[in-house]
Amino acid sequence: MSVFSIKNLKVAFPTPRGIVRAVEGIDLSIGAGECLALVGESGCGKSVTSLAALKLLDTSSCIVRTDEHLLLDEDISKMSEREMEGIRGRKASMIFQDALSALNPVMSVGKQLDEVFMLHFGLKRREAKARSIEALRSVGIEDPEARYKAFPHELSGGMRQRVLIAMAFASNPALIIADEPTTALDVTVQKQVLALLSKLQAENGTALLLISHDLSVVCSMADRIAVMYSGRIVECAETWELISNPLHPYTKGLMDAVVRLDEPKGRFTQIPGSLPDPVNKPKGCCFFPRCAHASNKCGEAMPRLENAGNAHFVRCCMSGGAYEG
Amino acid sequence: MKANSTSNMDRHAPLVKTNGLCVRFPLKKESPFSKRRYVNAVSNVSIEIFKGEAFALVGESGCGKTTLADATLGFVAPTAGEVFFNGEKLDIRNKKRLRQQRRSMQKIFQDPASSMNPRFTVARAVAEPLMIRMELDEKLILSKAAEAVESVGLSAGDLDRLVSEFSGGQQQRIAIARALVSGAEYIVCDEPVSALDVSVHAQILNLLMDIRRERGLTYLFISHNLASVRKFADRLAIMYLGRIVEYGDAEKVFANPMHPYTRMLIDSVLSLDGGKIASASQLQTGAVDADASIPDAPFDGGCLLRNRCPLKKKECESIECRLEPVDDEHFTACPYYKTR
Repeated sequence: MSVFSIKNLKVAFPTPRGIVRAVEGIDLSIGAGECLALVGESGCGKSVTSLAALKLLDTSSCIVRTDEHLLLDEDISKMSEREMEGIRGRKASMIFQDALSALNPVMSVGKQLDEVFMLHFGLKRREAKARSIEALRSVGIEDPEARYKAFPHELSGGMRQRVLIAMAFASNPALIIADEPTTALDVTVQKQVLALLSKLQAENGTALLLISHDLSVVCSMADRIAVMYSGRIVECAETWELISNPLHPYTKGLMDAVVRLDEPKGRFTQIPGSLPDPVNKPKGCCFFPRCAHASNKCGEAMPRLENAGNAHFVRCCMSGGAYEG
Repeated sequence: MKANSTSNMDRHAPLVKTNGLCVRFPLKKESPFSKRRYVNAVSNVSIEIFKGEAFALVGESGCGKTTLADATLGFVAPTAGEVFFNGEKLDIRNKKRLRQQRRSMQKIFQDPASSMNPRFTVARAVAEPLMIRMELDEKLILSKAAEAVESVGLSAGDLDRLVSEFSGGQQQRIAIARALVSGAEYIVCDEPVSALDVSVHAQILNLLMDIRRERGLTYLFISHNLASVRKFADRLAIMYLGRIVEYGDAEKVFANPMHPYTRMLIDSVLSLDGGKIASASQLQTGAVDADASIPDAPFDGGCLLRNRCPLKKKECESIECRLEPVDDEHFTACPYYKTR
């Protein structure tokens, strides 16, 4: 049974230069205790997808369409903003990339944590404080009583990210969306924070949607990986299947971009070119202009996302798929 | 620490040399009567960066990498010790001479979006060092800017566009063009790719490599990504809380890391086929636990890593850690490397 599912998500932003189709038909579904990762370059639409998942996009500046949008078998696509406020932070919560700007700079981290318990569970300040200190302890913060009174700027980057994680898990939600949770951190701290996230997720059976541009981060966390390119999913499979048998040329490029520690001195392998202009997307396969294996047909028709066996979905005709329409 | 010649760089001519360099910053007093305390951002660092090499400085945030780099550029004054550039001492009080010396130095910052004025045109952003430093006529400045922009893979037609119109990777190319335009020979690259997407890292690092080879530049490359450092650097220094803990030929250090901290850093590199993070054990053994911060108390002796070190011994509380040679191109500050 899936905790969260969304079908045929489309998001478009009208701009003076034309319509930016940020997301063009994405299906996602995450089960309890599962970690699904969404990988792609900046501008591919992964953050827009994560915001649309919790209806956090400002609908006065964009158009959002879905065929189905379920959280715990409840249809949230028709819910009002007020009803959504009861969902966010309670049944689904979010961990943002930059903890310094996600936290209120003039309020102690403890008070901010208290709010979760006071708002969603109706606790009094004193009871909330006890729960907050417990939450800080559970994310590995030493001396939580003292840290409760600290302001965000007094904590290190890794510690701030831990506070955000504590906040997200505080109400024991069914779904957590983590948008680049470690990009702003050092490598050593990154590994600790990922390990913490993975541990809490396993203990609470939370469904986790992890968003990242770094395939090495994703591989250490996810059960399943969806690779996104220019608003579409181009490949989706279980982690090990995807890493051992990547089918889409873009996935292969992303894998090569992760530098391995045992590589000798020399040049770095790079994916030539850059993402297409979102206003003037190329006809046919969106990866066509950068693809080394493309045929002429790829420049004319969009390939379909098809199952290549082993629940391994790929949108590429050169790996045996068919074209859309 | 004289090293023998093995590669193409000139091992006998250090372009940049620090000698017992210390930099400390005063902390705010808690009361007007309390004694002033200091943060020792860089303590007793002696390194040599040879002409034409890519020298990497590796460490966590807050370990003093940027302060050390800034000291080699004459941006911060040393509290003790000295910095030599091309054999000549950098004297921070001699502003006139420092300005002349700085013509051969440049810095590329981590985040191009915040290191350049978004409302400048590319031409203005790139030509700024020329306009400030030299009295050249406008035509020559523009042609030099065009040349620099083309050498980083953009076109001269981009000169009239605004910096903010470009993507992160392209903005970093513009920042590189700005560093090249005045003909600097020593360039500090302060985490030049960590603000960018992984898929763009390769493009920028390859560009930096090509430019170095073509122009015979010397880089001080600051990074915390060890896998990139291994591909990029000739020699390196691993820094921890203001001190160099391992130093020498990059290939030797990677092939045979001697200091426990270097090993911790190598262990923290994530790989594609490493499988899922071992959730529980990772936290409990806590080899690299707790974020490090430079102690503000005066140095009380002992190894600074001792609270995080998995190989800690009783003696680590009191030993004095000095860089000692493993061989003539590899130095480590852990005295117990032989016994492991």
